[in-house]
Amino acid sequence: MTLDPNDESRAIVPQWRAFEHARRTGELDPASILDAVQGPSEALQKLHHEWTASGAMTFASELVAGSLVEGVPEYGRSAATVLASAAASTSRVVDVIVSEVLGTRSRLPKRRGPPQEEVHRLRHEVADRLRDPFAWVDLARAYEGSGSNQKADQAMSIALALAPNNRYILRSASRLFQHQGEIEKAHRLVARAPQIRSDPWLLATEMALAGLMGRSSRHMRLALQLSGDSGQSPWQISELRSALGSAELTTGSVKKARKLFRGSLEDPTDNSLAQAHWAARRHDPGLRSQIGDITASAEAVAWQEYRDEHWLQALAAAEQWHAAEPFLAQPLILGTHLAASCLLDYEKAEELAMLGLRANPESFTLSNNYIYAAAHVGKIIEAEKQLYKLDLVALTDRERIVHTATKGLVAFRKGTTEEGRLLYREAIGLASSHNDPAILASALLNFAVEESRLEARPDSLQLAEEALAKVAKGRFPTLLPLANVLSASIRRAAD
Amino acid sequence: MATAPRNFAAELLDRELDNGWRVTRQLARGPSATGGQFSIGYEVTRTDGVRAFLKAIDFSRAFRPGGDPARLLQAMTEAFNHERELCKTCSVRRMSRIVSYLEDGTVEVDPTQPYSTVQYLIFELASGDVRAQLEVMQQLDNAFVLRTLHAVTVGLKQMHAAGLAHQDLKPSNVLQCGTSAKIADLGRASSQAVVAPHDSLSITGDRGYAPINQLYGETGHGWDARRRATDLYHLGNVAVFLFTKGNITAAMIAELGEFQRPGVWSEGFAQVLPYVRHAFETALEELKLSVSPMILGKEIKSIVRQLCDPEPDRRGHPESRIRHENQFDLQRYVSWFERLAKQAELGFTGGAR
Repeated sequence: MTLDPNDESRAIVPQWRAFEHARRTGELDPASILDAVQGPSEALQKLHHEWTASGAMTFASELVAGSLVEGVPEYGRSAATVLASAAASTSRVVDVIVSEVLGTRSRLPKRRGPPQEEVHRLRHEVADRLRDPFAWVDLARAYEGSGSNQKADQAMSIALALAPNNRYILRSASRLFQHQGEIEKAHRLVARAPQIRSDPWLLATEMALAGLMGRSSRHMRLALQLSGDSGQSPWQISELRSALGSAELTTGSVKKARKLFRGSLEDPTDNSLAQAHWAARRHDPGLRSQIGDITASAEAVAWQEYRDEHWLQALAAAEQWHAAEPFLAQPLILGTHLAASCLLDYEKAEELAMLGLRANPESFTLSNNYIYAAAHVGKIIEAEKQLYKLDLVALTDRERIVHTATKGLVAFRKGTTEEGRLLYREAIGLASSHNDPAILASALLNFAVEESRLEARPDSLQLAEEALAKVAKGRFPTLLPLANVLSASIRRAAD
Repeated sequence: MATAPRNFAAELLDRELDNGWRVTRQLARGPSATGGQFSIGYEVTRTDGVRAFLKAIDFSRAFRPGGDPARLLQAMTEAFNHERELCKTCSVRRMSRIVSYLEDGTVEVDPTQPYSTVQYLIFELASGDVRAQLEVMQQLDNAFVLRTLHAVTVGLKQMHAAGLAHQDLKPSNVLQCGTSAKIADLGRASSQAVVAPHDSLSITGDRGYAPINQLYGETGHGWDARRRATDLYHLGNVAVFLFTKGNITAAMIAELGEFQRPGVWSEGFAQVLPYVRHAFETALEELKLSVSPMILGKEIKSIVRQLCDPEPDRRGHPESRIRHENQFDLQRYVSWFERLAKQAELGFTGGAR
């Protein structure tokens, strides 16, 4: 059986996007901008004169480039139009400049491949641009997504050495350290940034990490000031307001939190949108009406579709969420659960679980869901291997029940039926004693399905009926697809 | 109603000058503001048939209504004197790749008018600047381009050896004199020995060709990092222009986000540098792909990476830095362009056969 995805807690830690993606969101923009662009210089005017007098393409190229450098692209636009439509081919460098001046440039993100291919591509890229800090950050991200934590750490160290005070790099590094379980290190890194007192993005990160450590931020008052009337755009302070709202939630001040979340939704980032959606789901349903269109956040969409029982749409959104944050376990925990339990697509579940385990080999839920899916597709040896890898000491009671039931499934599929029965019964007993109706129903249902695949026994029908009754009584929508399979199997047996 | 003052520098056609020179033709180029000196170009011919280029300085601008004639005249005079002194230095030191300065003088255009004396400088006559050569080429001749770059690098090296830095190297200042390219226009040049009037400006040369650091107000520290590093950047940018007709600064800016660009970014050069460096690397990749054959593209990319590094302190050959030599010394680039030019001439890197 799979374990339900857990969205009990969520902190507004940075979303670690690839550099090009982050740039497109505007996350790298400064808090304030200058308006220091002057008109065209006399030299540029002279070039314009030379070009109009001669019509020479060489002058046109110079004029277009000069207009871009001087911040007056409109001054070079007519020459750029001529160059763009010229029969003679121009160089790639000129093409880039011309399309930028004409505003016709399309910056398509590079196509992402599987994690190992991505690592290979980025290693190659870094080798050619050793002093580009963002190339190292992207490589660190790819390493983390493929489970090479140490290499990710090394790559990020180089990025930090090259640009120690860059907002994007600090946020990415803190996200990496947090993912590796080093929350103190992540917090220290951000808290010591020289611009922590003026940068709302870093302040939001610092507050979120402090929250994860069970502390409150030292900069609470400053954060409140910045999130108020600081003259920054609502978008720039959206995550800060969200972080403040989340901090209020932990102290139980739902009303104050709602006000702050409402502020964060004025012009939200996808992260603050996901945070507000989470807060509405888990703590404050009244906030739901404040949240408008959620399509900008794959995470929020995935959870919303999951709640609305639109399994296919939820799975698609979970995959999008995974693509945005490939090292995260949560999107794939949701994805494997959806694929295995709600869509009975065990091959998909196995594929997603494998992807997730690369970056999160310690995740019990992903391991369990992998074993469950692998057993279903007949990969018993792989499932057993994964069973041995699990660290059972750290399991919660709920996880231990799920683990016992999943071992029962493997035993059934391996042909050691009696062992399977024992394990399922143990899981059911534990679920009953822990008064966990969802886990109990799931264990019963999975046990009944396994029995139904064998030769009919007098007690198997009784078990199936009990399981179906529990599912019906508990109204567990994610168990219905498997319950339907069981019902059909019973009908066939009766016929 | 105030009227524009008479521009005596524009009235030299057909005039006889000292030493047998006669002004025979006004050059078609529009009024030039390069070098901070507003000047008008003429072709002059000596009695022995030698033709030359005359640069007449337009001091009339100092008397424009609303201006401060005393201050403006002083600034223009200082700039002219500075340029003349540097031209003389180059001439005395026989810099073979700097357009030869022949002489200077004055001519009184209208004795009835005050301030009608025009000062001029006479240089060897070039057949045109390098842009005209590129314009007529059906297909880029790598050998020509590399020979030109070699000559320009030698020219800059000659200036640097004399404690001078050009500060305004750009395609229009690379002239074709006979079979070789030479550097022209010392109007914005700096001398280690004498402070020039324009030395305090953050952008000394053409803003359209300025090193990217200068566009963010970062000038570099010390004479070498401020002056020679600027020449290195300009040299790299001329290489980019000759191979692609593009401009490395523009190519970088095209890769920067809208709010990270010069004139818009508000947080200082150190803060924007990571983005600039990323943009630089992306622009270099485009440069490599713009140059044919690919093997030459790789070499040009390496050269431009070293010459046009966004940080002035990091410009120059890495080997020189490792060996604690002067990193801004151009000798390695002289040799590099020489080798590439020879290879191109032999057809190894796509040169004209």
